[in-house]
Amino acid sequence: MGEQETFRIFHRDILLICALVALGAGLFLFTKKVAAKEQQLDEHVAATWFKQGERKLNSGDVESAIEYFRNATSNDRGNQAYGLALAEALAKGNHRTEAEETLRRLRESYPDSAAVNLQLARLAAESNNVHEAVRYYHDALYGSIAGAGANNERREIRMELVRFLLDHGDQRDAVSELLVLDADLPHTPEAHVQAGELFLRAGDAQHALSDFVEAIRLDPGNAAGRSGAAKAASQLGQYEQARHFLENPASSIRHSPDTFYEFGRRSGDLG
Amino acid sequence: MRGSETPFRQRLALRENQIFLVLTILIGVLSGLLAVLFTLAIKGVTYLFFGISPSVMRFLLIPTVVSFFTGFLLKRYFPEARGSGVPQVEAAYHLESGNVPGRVAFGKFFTGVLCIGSGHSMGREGPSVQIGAGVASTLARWFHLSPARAKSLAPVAAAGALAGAFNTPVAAVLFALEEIIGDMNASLIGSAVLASVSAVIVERSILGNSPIFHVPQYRLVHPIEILAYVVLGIVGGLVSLAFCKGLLWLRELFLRMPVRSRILQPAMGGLLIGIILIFFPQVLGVGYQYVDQALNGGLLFKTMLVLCLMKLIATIISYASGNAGGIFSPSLYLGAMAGGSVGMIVHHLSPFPVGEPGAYALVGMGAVFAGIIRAPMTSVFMIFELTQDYQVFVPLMIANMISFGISRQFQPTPLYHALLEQDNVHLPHSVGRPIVPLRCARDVMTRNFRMIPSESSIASAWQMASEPDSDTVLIGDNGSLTGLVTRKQIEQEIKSGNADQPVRQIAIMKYSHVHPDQSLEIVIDRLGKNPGLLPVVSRSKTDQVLGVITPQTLVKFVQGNADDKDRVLPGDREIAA
Repeated sequence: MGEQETFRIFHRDILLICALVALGAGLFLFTKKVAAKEQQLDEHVAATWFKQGERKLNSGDVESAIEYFRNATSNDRGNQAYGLALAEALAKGNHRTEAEETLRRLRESYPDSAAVNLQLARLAAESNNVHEAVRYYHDALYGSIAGAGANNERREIRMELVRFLLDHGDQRDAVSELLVLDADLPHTPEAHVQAGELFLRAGDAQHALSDFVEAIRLDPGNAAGRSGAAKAASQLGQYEQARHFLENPASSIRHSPDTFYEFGRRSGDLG
Repeated sequence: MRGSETPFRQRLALRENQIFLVLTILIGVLSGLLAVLFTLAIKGVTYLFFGISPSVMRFLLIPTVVSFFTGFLLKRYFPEARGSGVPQVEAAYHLESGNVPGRVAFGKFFTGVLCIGSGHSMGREGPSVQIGAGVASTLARWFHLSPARAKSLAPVAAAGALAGAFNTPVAAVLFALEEIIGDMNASLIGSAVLASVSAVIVERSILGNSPIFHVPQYRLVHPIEILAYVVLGIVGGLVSLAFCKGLLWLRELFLRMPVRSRILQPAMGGLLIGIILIFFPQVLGVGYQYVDQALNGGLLFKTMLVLCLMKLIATIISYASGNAGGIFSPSLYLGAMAGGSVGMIVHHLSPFPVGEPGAYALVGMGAVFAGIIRAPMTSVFMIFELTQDYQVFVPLMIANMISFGISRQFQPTPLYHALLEQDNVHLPHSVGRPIVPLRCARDVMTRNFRMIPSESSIASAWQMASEPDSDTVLIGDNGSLTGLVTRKQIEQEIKSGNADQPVRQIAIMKYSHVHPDQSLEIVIDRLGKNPGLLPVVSRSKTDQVLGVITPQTLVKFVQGNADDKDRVLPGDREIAA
């Protein structure tokens, strides 16, 4: 009788355990489905808050925008765009510390995000933390940028970095960055003029002249290009060339006070 | 020895060990899954009720109407599902061999989702514990486990449920030992770990591995900052004290209302909550997003101060009015707001560098939790696991112990035990390894007693009091004790011509009692406080009389022991011849 009873009990136990395992598996799958649906709901709620936040920001109500962006990030923590929007709004509302913390947290999830690193760079730049700003600018430059305009964006970031370095008197590093920038400039007169002007600010007249010349080559009537070239040439002591750049069918160049005076001063025409 | 030769009973015992091991894992998985489902259900219901930007009418109507419905359910079908669930599981563990009916688990899930989802300021972790314990108890019955094994499954399920609800495996195990069992040396630690780990595995496979709160890496900036954390510990203690006292006071108020009103009390609480939510929607439900903001320095000083106060009031109202929900999450919320406020003050006034207010919010969470729940070790590890920040361990421990000490000094009975006492349930005093005294009330009492109905006349009480050894008479209805009356009182009333009056009019309502497992020392002490009779009552229902002790029964007991000289009891000293 004991043997039979034992067998019956064990048999029942095994059946029960199998049923419970099946129940557990079913419950697991069900819970996972519910969790997925909840996540969709969270994303929808977050998107709604985000849109409302953008509207508030555009209307100038920064504090409300911050609250709405916070709600968006609470509902969809992993969303980089929401986090960035919150950080930007916080920075605009003078909540610097929280903006930094938000961005640092985002950076933990997206360490190579150009957008996140750029925001951090800007915050560091605002507080004149040169070392940290440069670090974040570099991380932004070599980070990931999505979309077709990635090259343009990278160029803009580098220009921003150069301006920052020049503002803080670091001409040597600025020139290094400009040389990299130069190698990848689009073939437009505006781009070369911009680069040339930055080279001039950095004290590298030679490279500036190259860029201005290229700008003129692409657009002979480009006033900014000719005036910049004349400046660069005169800084290099090439006064004849400078005059040549100024002899332009467009009369506006001759009458531009800056270049005319500079040319006159160096060539001694003015008394 | 071959299997076929193993006695049936030995095989059964072996079978029970094996089943227990398997059940530990299964219960961990099921408790964890149910805890996750509970969390998700609350979120979904909250969205369903309130949407994204709820109107004033929604805030007012939803908690009231839903609480009316849940109040009916709680009164009619699931009375054990009221409140947190943790004290109920403790009571089941210590007094009823861990028995939690499956119906209660279902009721708790359903009403808990509705109550918390409809805006009540309550937590979801306590209900998860009760749901898990209900599942464990049901499985124990299905498998016909012995009472001892069935009892052991309650804290195991609690560990699994809390691990699944909070994603805190270590704290969940500590909680089961520190709070449910009350003994950190319990032999169940292995099973609790197994259940906790199982629960966390399933929870993380569904919800991911990220912590509930994202906090920066805080650290102790200057050693002298410890003084600031001492102050925080004091503040945390005071906040937890205010919460405990306030909750017990308001709950007592609600319990004193006519029993008929119990069905409406949750709705009354719901209405008050609705009014609060109109002005302070931040105290709705669990509120973890605001805790996150406080931890990251995203709230103003005034905001944190106000939210701390309003959350305290809202949670007290929600709980005291009899809704289904816990107090874990509100404790963390209160702590974060109080700590953040202290942090702002310290930051503003300190002449030396100090940590960010968020660090104080973090430590504040632990301090208030330790003061309210009275589980300091659980609190330390819980905060660590919730935030994965080890840097503030030392300040956290200091603030926790101070808050715990203050709370214990001015509220000696832990909150969970005090809530049970309000429900006439008395847990053993040293809630740890039950120390069974050598001689206890059970050994002395007599089961030969009578109880006179409270509406009986004084004359009929006199008849009972005239019997030998009946100087005092029990008064009660349907087996529930309501008072005592002495022979002397009866004589006086009869002489005054009040023999026809109901005996309840002269009943002594304030009297001492003992429980069967209490020592003789306590019996003797309390017998002196009562007029000639000491009722021995059940722990799980303190108006249920199990026996009585009178001076005569005590004498008989002593004489009986004196006659039994040859019986050697443990502890008796052998005297050398």
